[in-house]
Amino acid sequence: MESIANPLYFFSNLSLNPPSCSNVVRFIDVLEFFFVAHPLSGRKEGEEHKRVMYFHPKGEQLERQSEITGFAEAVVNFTENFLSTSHRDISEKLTESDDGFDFRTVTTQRTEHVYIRTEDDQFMLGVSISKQLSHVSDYPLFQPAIRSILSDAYKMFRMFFGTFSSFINFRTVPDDIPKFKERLDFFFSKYIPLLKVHKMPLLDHLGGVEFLRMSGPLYLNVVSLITELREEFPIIEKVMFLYQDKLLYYQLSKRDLPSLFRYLTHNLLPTTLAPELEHSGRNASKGRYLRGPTDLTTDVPLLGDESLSVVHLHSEQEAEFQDELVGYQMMVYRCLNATVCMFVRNSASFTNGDSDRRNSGESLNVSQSSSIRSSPPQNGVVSRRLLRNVDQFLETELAQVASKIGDEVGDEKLTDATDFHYIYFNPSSLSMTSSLSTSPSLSVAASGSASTSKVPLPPVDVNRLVCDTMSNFVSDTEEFGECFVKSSSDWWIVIKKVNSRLLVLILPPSSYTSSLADVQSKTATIVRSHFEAIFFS
Amino acid sequence: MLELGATFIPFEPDRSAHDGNITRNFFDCSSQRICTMRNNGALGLASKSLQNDKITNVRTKDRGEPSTVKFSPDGRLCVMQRAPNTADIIFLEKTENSLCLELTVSTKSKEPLLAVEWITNNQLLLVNNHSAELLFINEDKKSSKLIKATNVNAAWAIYYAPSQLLLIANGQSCSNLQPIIVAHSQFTRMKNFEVDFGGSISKENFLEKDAAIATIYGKVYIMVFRYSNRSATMLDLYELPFDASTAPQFRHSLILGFNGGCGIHVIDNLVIVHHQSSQKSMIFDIKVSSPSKSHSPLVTTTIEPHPQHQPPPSLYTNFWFTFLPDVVIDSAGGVMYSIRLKNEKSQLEISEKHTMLEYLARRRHEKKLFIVSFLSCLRARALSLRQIRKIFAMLSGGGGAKTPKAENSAENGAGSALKAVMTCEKYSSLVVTQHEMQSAVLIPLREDASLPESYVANIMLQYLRSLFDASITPEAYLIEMVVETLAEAGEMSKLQQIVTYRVINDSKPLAFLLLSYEARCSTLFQSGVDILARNKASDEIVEVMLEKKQIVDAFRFIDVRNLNEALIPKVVEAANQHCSRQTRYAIREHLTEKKAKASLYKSIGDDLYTEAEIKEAANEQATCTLFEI
Repeated sequence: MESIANPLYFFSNLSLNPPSCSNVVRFIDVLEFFFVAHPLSGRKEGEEHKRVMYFHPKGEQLERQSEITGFAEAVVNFTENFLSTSHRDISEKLTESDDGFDFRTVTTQRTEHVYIRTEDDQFMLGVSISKQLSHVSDYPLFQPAIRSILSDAYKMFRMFFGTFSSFINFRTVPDDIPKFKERLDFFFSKYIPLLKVHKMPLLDHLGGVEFLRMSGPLYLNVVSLITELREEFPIIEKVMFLYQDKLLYYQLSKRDLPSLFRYLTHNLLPTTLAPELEHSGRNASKGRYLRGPTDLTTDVPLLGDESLSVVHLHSEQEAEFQDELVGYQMMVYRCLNATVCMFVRNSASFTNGDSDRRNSGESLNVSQSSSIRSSPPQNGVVSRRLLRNVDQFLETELAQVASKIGDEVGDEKLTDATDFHYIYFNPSSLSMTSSLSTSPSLSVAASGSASTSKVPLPPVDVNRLVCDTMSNFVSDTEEFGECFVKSSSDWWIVIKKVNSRLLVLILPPSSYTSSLADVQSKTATIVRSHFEAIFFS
Repeated sequence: MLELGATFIPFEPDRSAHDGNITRNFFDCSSQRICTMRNNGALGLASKSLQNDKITNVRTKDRGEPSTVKFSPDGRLCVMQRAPNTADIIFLEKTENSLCLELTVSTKSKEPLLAVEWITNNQLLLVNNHSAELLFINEDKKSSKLIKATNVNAAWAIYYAPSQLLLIANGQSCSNLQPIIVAHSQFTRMKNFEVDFGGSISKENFLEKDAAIATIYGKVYIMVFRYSNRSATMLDLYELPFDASTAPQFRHSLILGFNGGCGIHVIDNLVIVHHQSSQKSMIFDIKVSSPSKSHSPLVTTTIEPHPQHQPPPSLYTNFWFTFLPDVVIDSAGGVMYSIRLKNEKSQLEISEKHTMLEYLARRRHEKKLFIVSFLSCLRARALSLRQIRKIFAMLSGGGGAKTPKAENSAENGAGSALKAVMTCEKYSSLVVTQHEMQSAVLIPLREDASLPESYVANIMLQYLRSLFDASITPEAYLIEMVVETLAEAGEMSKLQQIVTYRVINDSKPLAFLLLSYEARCSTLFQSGVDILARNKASDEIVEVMLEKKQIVDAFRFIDVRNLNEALIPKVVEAANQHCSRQTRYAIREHLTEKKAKASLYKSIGDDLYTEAEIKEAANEQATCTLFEI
């Protein structure tokens, strides 16, 4: 099962305990339970446990599993009666804006539960965080962040295996449910133990991607390289261009961007780093594919270990409201720190979104099997020939562009030491930068010391305060806003929202920030010096 | 693609008549003149050239048959070689009816002369086996004086007038070539070098007729025929450096692929080889990129006579003599022709569009033709974007991003670190200005409804990139056009990313353009405001904020920036229109606190309550009962 083409092959080796000073927490350390349920499967008396598709921790008794999922279902159904109108509106709004899901939260004395419903409310995912454990781990509970973590987990699964409902549909093939369970088990039992969450939950909640800063003329080189690539190979439908662990250019739906970016920077790219360091020296500027076949000289069909992984992405950039998912074969080409991800529509896969699940029963088998890597011969359209041609096309040009970027990025490296913490997020471009975020292993090895801040990480109460301020004083819908908060430990929190952009400044206690006026002027200085290109009045 | 005889000049062909009159013709390569000599000059010496109509006509003494006739650059002196070891200088002045005066010169050693050449109007170069001597000819005194002499070991010598370059062959099989620059009354030796001419038992020596010198793309090349028994004949090009300390190097090899008589021309930086027996001419362009040093002909074609020649002259005959750069002499017909390129036919002859366009771009005076062809290729979508980029790069930067720099530094380096001793005609590549590009290519493309906008937008981006690569600031109009085209193409995501990365320069008009796209892509609004902020256009930002009904934030912005108070009434007016009563009250209080002038905010409180409300309130107050606890 663990073949090279398997997307999860790379969920490995990263499970080391984060050091206590780190700004991330292992999710498993605060997690009480996590489940995926399909309520329709457990309608019959005595068969309630059948609705549980996946449950973490695995050792939990079946009775308790069905109890928990039953409670969740009950909460959802019960609250539906009260909130039907107003809640629907909210949930619809969320769907429009950021692929959000209908959700419920339950707070008990010991735990914080979040349930989300997906795919026409057929499926339910739930998570419970233990308050005690989170206290021990210094992890501030922030309910929107937990919600985001939960929906991110779902989206990640969906990216690799397609929608849940592609496994279960009304003309049910009896084998589907065990297969579905197998997939879920396969995915989540790796995903959850490796998942890390930020001690600043806001970062998980916002879920942006980090863009690389770069000069315009050079950026145009990237754009034109990609445009040329798309012209030369019209079969490539979507493209993403990264340098080191930062995004530069993309041509795909914004809804897929965070998951894909996360997968690439957290899972795929770190694993490639070691071989690159080993081989540095010889043929360093030669590009290569990160996945798929190593031998491109033959024309043998791509089978088994050599086949490319398939990801399910939203098909049309224009129609943002459609939930069409299409399988794409992913080619990842890397050269001198620059990574080009190319997506070719997988001919073997069919649209298996919610909308047509009713009439695509048989065809779905094909898409599943292609994602299980049992490799039917018609698996995909990417051939060695195509890989070879793309390689030839990109080889020299990409190396040139990458080395130019390298020169420019290298020059700027040293300028960035700050005496404050910040989070910047632009919801319209999904651009996020923060002095508190980490991208594991890449940041240390490739981009030098990433955390450029000289100040200590903010204590947990400050983090909690930031989250509380966000949820209580900053409106989601307003495009402008400003808020200054002083914590009991003399940290200052400045939240500015200008033109939908969010800037959170976390200023450590110091003699320069004794009064509000000081903080205001300090804020103005920071904005002027660090965000000068952006309009933050 | 080649045309014979757009310019031509007739002359009297060689003949030995029965009446004893003999006519002989000589071609002087340096001055490009044909000299017709009747009865060894006794019946007249006429010289004509294609460049000008001036015909020199004189009579000289008949002192035997000359072997060469050469004119000084100003045409006042002429040198003839009638005996193996002497040269006669003929003063062509004031000789309407009388015979010309003559002066006989020779080298010191009186050895047979290998070359007699004019260096300047009054300096004559004589080369024999052992020495090269430079003589000063005093026209007034009719005397000569040795200026400079140098020892050489020469088997033969040729002279290239444009660079004042004397090339001497020596050594075993004569394949060691010694270039010498004769300038400023000095001999400057350059590094000698060995050429490979495919020597064999049957062909022991490298011959004068197998070598030629020409300037191609601003560099002087020595062209050498290399024969081989097995493979085809090659024409090897050796590049001469400009300084005296680097050795000439083998650069290019042109694959001729035939045997037998041929002639070379170098026209507009193209090497053209005419092959007699197959009646074909091959055109080589050494700038056409080639993986190795070998070049195949870019075009193989046949010369066509210019229609003004009726009946058309026969081509590729045995009587043809070709001279560099572009002269064909038909010795039987008695006509000297020039050959020229007909580049307008290149569209038909060169099938690969990219090569064809690059070819045209490198030709002299073909800008118009190039632009027309370029536009038609773009319209036909015959080029890939990468090819388009390369062509743009050629036009904007004068070559690829890196190569011209390297070349320049090599040349400039030669000028500074190493003293350049040789000069030649510089090659300047085609430059198309932004304005020309816009009006002749980009705007027509945009207006062409049959082309998808995204294609046009991509072309524009490639052009923009070429400008950036050449460090040229793009004009505001071009940027605006790029943005508009991208928007028309619906490539909002691309446009947004490009704007975010500030690929395009900030300007207020651009900002407003972006703001106007807000309806289609909300993120562009952000970018537009950013540009305004970077341009310190605070007034406009306030306007935009008021437009978006962000009145409180407009106030905050004014406060933070300490803006002109003149803006406040506008904000107040907007507040009166859109804000709730509480907000208006807050604004009023805020202004009072800031001690703003009363005139600025007076209006805000005026209608805080309507009269009816006040009345009602008064009424309510009057009728209410006060409960006391």
